[in-house]
Amino acid sequence: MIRVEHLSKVFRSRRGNTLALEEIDLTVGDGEFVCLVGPSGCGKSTLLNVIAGLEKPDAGRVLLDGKPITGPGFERSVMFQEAALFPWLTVRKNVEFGLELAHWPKAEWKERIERYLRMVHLWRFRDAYVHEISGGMKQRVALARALAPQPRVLLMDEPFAALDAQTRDVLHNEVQELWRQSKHTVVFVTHNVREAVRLGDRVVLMGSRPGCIKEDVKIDLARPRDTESDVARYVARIMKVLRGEVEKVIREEIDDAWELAPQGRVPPGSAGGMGDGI
Amino acid sequence: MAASFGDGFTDRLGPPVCLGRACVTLGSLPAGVLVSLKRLLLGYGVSVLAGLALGCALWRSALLRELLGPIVVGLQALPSICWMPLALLWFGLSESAILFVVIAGSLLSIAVATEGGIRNVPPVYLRAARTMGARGFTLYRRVVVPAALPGIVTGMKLGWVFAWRALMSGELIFVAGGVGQLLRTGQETNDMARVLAVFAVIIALGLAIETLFFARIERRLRERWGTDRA
Ligand SMILES: Nc1ncnc2c1ncn2[C@@H]1O[C@H](COP(=O)(O)OP(=O)(O)OP(=O)(O)O)[C@@H](O)[C@H]1O
Ligand SMILES: [Mg+2]
Repeated sequence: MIRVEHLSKVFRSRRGNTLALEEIDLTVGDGEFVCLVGPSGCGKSTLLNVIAGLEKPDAGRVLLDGKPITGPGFERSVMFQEAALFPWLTVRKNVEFGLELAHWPKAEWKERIERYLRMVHLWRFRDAYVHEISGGMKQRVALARALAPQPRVLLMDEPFAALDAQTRDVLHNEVQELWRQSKHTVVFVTHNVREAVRLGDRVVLMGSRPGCIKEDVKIDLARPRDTESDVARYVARIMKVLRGEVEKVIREEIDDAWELAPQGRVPPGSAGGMGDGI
Repeated sequence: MAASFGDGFTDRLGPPVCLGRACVTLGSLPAGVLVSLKRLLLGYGVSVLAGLALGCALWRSALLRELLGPIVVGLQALPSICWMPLALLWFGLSESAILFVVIAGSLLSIAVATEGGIRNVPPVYLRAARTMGARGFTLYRRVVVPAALPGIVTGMKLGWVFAWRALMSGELIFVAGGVGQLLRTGQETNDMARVLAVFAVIIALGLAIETLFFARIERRLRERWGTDRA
C-alpha cells in the first residue's frame, strides 16, 4: 500500500519558487489502479517522481507498506512518456537490464525475458535494436522491462501520450489484461480523462497552483471496459470539474490578454482533447 | 616532365632510383617504427585512462569544473610541441620527456570530449536506470559510459591523432630513436628517398589504425544507435 502523507514540494529556481504540491494526502491500496488527471503543470509528474524516489519532498512523506521511501528502488518500476530504452542494447538486453539490477538469479533471466516479451507480443523482435522498432513497440518493450523484475508498484507517467489513437487503444487493452493477471499496484498519470476512466479503479483529479487533490472518483464499472456509454458518463462528470481547473490555469498563463478574449470562455481546443483521442 | 625541374631534382627524385632506394630504406624502418609505436601506445593508453577519469570528474564536480574547466580548455588548444621545453626541464633528455609530450598533447582533448559526451546523455536514461535500482559505479559502467560512448569515441580518435602528432614533433626535435628520428636523419643526410619512405609509413600506420580500429567501432555504434540512416 502506498501512503502519501501531507506531501509538499517546492521547486526553487532563479525565477522564483514554485509550490508544485501542497499538503497532498493519498492512499493507493494493494493491487489498485489509480489514475491521476489534472491540468498541465498541476504537479502530476512531480507527485509520481516523489513516489518513485526521484525527487525528495520538502514536507511530508511517502510510505510503501509502512516504510518511508528514501530513493528509487526496483520494487517501484517507472514508465515515462518517452520509452527511455537504452539504444546501445537490444530489446532483449533492455529487459535483461532490469532483471540484473533487481538481482534476479541469472538462471531465470532467459525464461522471464521470453515470458514478458511474449506478453507484449514482441518476442519476434528480441534481437532488434531500439531504433529498429516503432514508437508503440518501444513503449511495449518499456512495459515488459518495467514488469519483468516483478515490482510491487508500477508508476506510469503519460506512457501512451505520444502514441496514435489506435496504438494507444491496443496498449490499453494490453495493460488491462496484464494488470488483471498480475494485480500490480498502479499509479497512472494522464491528461486524458477517457483513458483514466477506462483504466482506473479510481480517478484522482488534481488542481493546480499549488498542486492539490480536487476530487477522488471511484469508477464502478465492470472490466474489461470497452463499452463507451458508461465510460462517457464518468468522463462527462470529471470533465466538468477539470474544465474549471484548466480555465484557471489558462487564465493565469495568458494574464491580461484573457480580458480581451470574447465571453471569457476556454478557447477552443485547450480543454478539448482531454477527453477524446482514444 | 621531371626534366623541366633540372638535373638536380631528377637526381633526388628520379622515380625508379628513388623507389628502389626507398624499398631498401624500408628494410631499416621496422626498428624505428616499433620504438615509436611503443611510445605511442604507452602514452596514448595513459591519456585514455586519465582522460576518461578527468572527464568524469569534471562532469561530476561543479567545483572542479569551475577550477579546472578554463585551464583544461585553454591548455587543450596549446600545440603539443609547446610542452617540449617543460618536459626537457622536468625530465631531461629521457624517455619520460617524450611520453610526457604525448600525454600532454592528447589527454586534455580526451577529457573534454568525455565530459561533453556525458553531459549530452539524455537525463531520462539516468532516471530510468535509477528507478531500476542502478546506483554509483553500476550507473556509470552500465549507463553513463555506454550512453556517452559515441562522444567518447570521437574524443579518443581526436586524442589518437594528437598523440601521433605530438610524438612526431617530439621525436623530430628530440632525437632518440623512433620514426621522427628517421625523418630527421633523412633530412640531415639529404636522403629524399628515406624521407618519403618514412612518410609512407606514417600515413600507412595512421590509415591502418583508422580503418582497423576507429572506423570499425564507429560503424558498430552507428548501426546500434541507428545514426547511419539519413
Ligand atoms: N525541475 C523543476 N524546476 C522548477 N520547477 C519545476 C520543475 N519541475 C516541475 N516544476 C514546476 O512544478 C509544477 C508541476 O510540474 P509537473 O511537471 O509535476 O506538472 P504536470 O502535472 O506533470 O504537468 P504536465 O501535464 O504538463 O506533464 C509546474 O509548475 C512546473 O513548472
Ligand atoms: Mg507531467
